[in-house]
Amino acid sequence: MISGVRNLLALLPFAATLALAQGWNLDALMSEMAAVPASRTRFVETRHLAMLTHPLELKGSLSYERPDRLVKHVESPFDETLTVNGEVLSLVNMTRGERRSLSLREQPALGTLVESVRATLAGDRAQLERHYRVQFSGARDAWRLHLVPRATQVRAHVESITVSGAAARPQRIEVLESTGDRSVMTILHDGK
Amino acid sequence: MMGSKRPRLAVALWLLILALSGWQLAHTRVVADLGAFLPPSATPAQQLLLDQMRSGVASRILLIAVSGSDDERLAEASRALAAKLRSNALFASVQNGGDEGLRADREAFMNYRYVLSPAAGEERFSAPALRASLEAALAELASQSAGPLRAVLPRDPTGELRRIFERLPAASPAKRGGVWFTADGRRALLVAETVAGGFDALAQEQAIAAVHQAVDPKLNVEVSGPGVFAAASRTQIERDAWLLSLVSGALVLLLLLRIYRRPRIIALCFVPVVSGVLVGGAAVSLAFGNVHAITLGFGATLVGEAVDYPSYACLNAAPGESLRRALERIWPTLRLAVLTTVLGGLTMLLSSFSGLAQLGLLSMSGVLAAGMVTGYVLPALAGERPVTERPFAAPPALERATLAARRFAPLVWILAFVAVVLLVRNAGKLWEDDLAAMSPVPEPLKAADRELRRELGAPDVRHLILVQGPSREAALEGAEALEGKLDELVRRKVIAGYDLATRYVPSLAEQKRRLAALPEPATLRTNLEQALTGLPFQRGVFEPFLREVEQSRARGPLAEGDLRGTVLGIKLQTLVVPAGTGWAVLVPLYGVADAQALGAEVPVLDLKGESERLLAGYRLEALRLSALGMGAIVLLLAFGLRSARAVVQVVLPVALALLISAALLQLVGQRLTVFHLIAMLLVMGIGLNYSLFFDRPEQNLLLRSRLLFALYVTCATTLLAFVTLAFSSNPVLHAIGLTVGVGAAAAFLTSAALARR
Repeated sequence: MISGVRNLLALLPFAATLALAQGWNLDALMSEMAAVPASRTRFVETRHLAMLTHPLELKGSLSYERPDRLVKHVESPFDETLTVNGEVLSLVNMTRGERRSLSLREQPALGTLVESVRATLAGDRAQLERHYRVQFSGARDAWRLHLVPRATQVRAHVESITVSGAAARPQRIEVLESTGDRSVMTILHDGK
Repeated sequence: MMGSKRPRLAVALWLLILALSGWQLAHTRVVADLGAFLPPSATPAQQLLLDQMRSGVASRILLIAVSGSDDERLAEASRALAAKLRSNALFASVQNGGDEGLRADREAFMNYRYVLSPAAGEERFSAPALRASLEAALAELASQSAGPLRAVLPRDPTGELRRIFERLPAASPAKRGGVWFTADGRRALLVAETVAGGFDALAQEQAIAAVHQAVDPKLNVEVSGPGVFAAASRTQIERDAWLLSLVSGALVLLLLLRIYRRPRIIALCFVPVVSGVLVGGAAVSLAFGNVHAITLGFGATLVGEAVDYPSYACLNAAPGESLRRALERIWPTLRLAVLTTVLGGLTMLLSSFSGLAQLGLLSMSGVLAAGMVTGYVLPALAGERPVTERPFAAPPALERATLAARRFAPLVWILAFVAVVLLVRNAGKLWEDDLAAMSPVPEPLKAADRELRRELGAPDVRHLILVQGPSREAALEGAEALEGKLDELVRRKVIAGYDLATRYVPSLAEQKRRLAALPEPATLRTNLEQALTGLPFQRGVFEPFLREVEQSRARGPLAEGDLRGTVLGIKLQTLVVPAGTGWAVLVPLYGVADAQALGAEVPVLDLKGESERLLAGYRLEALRLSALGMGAIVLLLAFGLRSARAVVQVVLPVALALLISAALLQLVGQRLTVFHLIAMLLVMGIGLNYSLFFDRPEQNLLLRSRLLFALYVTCATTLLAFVTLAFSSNPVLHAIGLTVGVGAAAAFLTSAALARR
């Protein structure tokens, strides 16, 4: 999977011209995303933390429901569900028996991070660009969104987020943190 | 008699005294501390509560709301305002919910985590305990909420910082754009602590002005809190007192002009009042070292009765008669009237309120001076020129009506009876029970304050535990010992929660115990290495932890000053306060479900009950002093009138008038406060004048008619002055104006109805 992405990256300049040639761009991607009413996928997330000798691996499911409900359910190595519904974010950790809830309005930085995934899945370009400087490249079959947070407050934690995928299917989300820590989420679509 | 023998000496003496008084007043510090009008306290607990009310941290808190734009711009304005106020020396601290204001707290928590965390004193640093902490941390690192943890994990693998945060009170307003907002998102909220005490009206005024200046004029700013109350009351009382004095002065002037038609006589009428205010003010300044702004304002009103003294003399002058001769005739009665008013002031003078005592002295010395000036100086100033060429007399219709009033004597008795019944039936509602209502704060300001407080999630506290000790540490240790009991009460649902200072910062003894539990560097390193065996942490990740535990041991316990400028510091200052010669820890209790069960287990202070007891005590004092004043007046009258019958005849109408006006005030919804009491004393003084003069034996109908006229004129001037005051929007001025207006009218009517002649 990783190597596949790398291959795709190598082809990027090429793909960009192709996209232009075919008239496929950020707007096209967004409108294709906007046509998906709901989605449910599985994911594998690898966290590379400087303080650990080897990366942590999380597995679970990711679902989205129009217009603004996003659920990330981690199933292993523990059971934890992160739900964002409108402005409300809640985190339920069944393993530790913890339950927390907060408003994204109160935590604008957290809101920005949520939108990297939610606004992308919603196909909401305006929302995405409100929080990030967005760089689009690639073609319909291999696109890439490079997101750099606009707010300095957020940039203090997250340097950039890169979402890549094919058509209306994001396949990989890489978050690069300002500490150098990095996490890569690979999204597995049915039949792939 | 007086004045006639050595007129020049009297005038010279008067001028000298006026000059000295003026000099004394010019060098007097006028203070604006409204606390002087709060009742003094009987018990140490009450003293503590009042001290807190006057100058405790709670009194120094200003609540600020900024509105008038979208939330992004308001959040920006909130941050800018907070930054500006933080650099202003008038403010000790400013919070707006933003990170900026919490930076100092975080730093203090981080530096002192091993004395602040309740777990630090337990066995946390052995190899197995560290192993458990590290395993938990590892599991948490993968969690979605691990962000903040990851940054501090190398310094704080045992999670003490989080334990500290978990113990902080959670209630706080909603946030938008990272700063506090009202629930509807229309107003950004800030809390500022001023350096000056809440009752220091002048300093509070400056602080409030600084807030207004620091905000973009296009936005709306509301400021509330005890300081705003103090400043607003002061400005309002001063403004209204001046403005309404001017209005009523002009009205009285017009009336006198209409009657005397001689500017010279009118000027003479004002000489005793002005002299009285000057001498009274100087006497207060000499005796107390300062004068309250409000004393001056009210004092002028009290001495204002003296404007009637020259009138009694002037209006009794026959055509062509000089002031001296008219005065000679009327003087025995006038002298008695002056002296009864002076004794009326005694009640206030002996009061334990410093503000009231000042008022008492001012009114006593002012009225005495005005009376003496009327008796000894005015005749000399007026010379032998006649007061008037045409006869003074009441219009015949008025005279007839006054004579007819006597037929209504039974009605007065019936009214007085009804009044007594009403007062007895509503005895519970007669007096103001709310301590807060004693401060002269307009109701809209109070309502705005309640609303802001609700938005900020600051609950109203009614019950608290007071832990006192000879030293700060002793009090803290006493409070610390309560924690187990309080937790048990919460578990049993007797109370919903409590706010205990030592939950945030423990006593020194406990801090030292926790520090002693920290292992030596070598031991800690060995334990950590053992704990890390087999875990996927990089080598050396926890070096900061080892270093900082050692630093904590070296740094020692947290001193009071280490929290300066932090939110926690402010909180502690409200909860741990100096009390008398020692210290006290206040432990507010929330959601008291069963006050009785609570009281049986811990010594609880019921603030509402305490404030009611305080006011009841003060009420008793007021009534006792009033009885004393009345007794003194009756003795004086007995001495002056030399007949028990005559004394009863003079006192009765006034007593009945006081009862009737108290009932009337209650009917219009007034609850009696210290300010009504001042007004009632004034009514007593004025009423005694009426009944003394109504009862004065006159040799012929002509003299009788002139006297009646004098009574009408003086009553009219009094009503003009005080009814104007009743129009003030300030509750205190309104109360005084209304009480004296109603009381003077009642006293006039009862005196007329019950007069013998």
